[in-house]
Amino acid sequence: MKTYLTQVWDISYKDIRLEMRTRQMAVSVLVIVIALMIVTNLAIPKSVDATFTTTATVIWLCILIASFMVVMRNFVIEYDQIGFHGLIMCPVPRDAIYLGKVVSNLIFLLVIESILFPLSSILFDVPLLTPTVTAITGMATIGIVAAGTLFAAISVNTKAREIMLPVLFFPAVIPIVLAAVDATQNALNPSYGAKILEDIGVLAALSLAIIATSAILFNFAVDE
Amino acid sequence: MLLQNRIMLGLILIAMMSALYLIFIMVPTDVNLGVSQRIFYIHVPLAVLSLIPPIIVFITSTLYLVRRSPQWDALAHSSVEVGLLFTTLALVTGSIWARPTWGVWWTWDPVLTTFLILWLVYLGYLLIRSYTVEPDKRARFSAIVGILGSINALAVYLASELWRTIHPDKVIGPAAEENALDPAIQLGILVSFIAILLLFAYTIIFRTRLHSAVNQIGSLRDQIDDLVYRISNK
Repeated sequence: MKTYLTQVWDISYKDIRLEMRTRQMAVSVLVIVIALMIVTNLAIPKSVDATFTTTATVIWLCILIASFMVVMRNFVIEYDQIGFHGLIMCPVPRDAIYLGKVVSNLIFLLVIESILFPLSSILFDVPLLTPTVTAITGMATIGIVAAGTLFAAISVNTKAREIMLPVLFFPAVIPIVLAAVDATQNALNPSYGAKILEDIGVLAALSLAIIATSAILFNFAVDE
Repeated sequence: MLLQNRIMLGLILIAMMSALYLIFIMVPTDVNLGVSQRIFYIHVPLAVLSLIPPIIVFITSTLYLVRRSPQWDALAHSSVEVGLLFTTLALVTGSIWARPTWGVWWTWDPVLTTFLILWLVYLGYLLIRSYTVEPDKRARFSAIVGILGSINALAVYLASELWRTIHPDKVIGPAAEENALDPAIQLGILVSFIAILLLFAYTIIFRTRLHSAVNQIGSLRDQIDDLVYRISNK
């Protein structure tokens, strides 16, 4: 078990080291996401009643776009430099490669979210830095990244990878994004109470189902 | 083969004509919904049958990944094509009914939303097939997309059962109340359901044969290329 976890960590640490040296992905994704947040915030009319809904919607839209760019970039770098074939030839289980990629994508996205959430909290004047919102974000991000990593591995092998990833990825994560938007606006509403734990439970179950299914299917996706 | 096709097409034609006669002449006009309710005889079978391809795709895609037999891939492919057609028609007929009844062409009702997601998944499946060059990769990738898309179809069912919906109450199927319908309406629904079911089965069988034939031609062509290459290098 320890060896398996070490293999997963080694694969993800390789990606993290690459990103720490180049700092290409996190900075560019963050700039795009902040710009998107500003544009959507300006486009949506201000209404006191809709603050929680607007905040939750804009934040999850930004996270969805950020996750799309992160998972795509992670695989494109690997594929263009023929690193992915080397990765496939590694004497490790295929699902360890998948989980390694999920962990590195998750870390990149959590870094972006750790900047996005305090900023959104200031811009929307909504208390986003609470334990419940953090738990919701963590659970939903795992599910989104799990699905995105599998679809990115498939998309990079096609003729139109930039088109194929959003075509496959966005419809697949709609249930989890809807659940995340719903849970976030409930968490921001003080009158909602302890029922929020049920929302977090649903998100955790969805993420677990996605990551388990995707880990199995990844074995077939990279069956060279 | 030709005789089978003709018999099947004849049956579909008879069933379709009977369904149209029942829908437009026999069944009474609904007291509350008016003439627009008649589209239900087409919309309900289309929507119900749209939920069968995901089950076929899930089973055949799993079988393909395990056994790697091209016939399972051909069946999954044709099921998605027919599923896309039926989902499109279900969305269009539902939208035509919604305009006079709900006052809008579209509403973000959970059932409608999940059908739209299913439609997008079908499109994604067909796109991944057209954008992947190698036949083996094409079949593997589409099987993966098919399996995940079928799980999405489960969300369609759960949405209609668990989430709050403005969809009308179920008057047919296991969730329906007893004696909820006039006998003429029941007959109308039954005949149109049989007609559309026959069309559904015929199109799936026809497309599967076609895809299997295309696969065979592809492998024969590869063999000929291989043979020509060997002869030219002798």
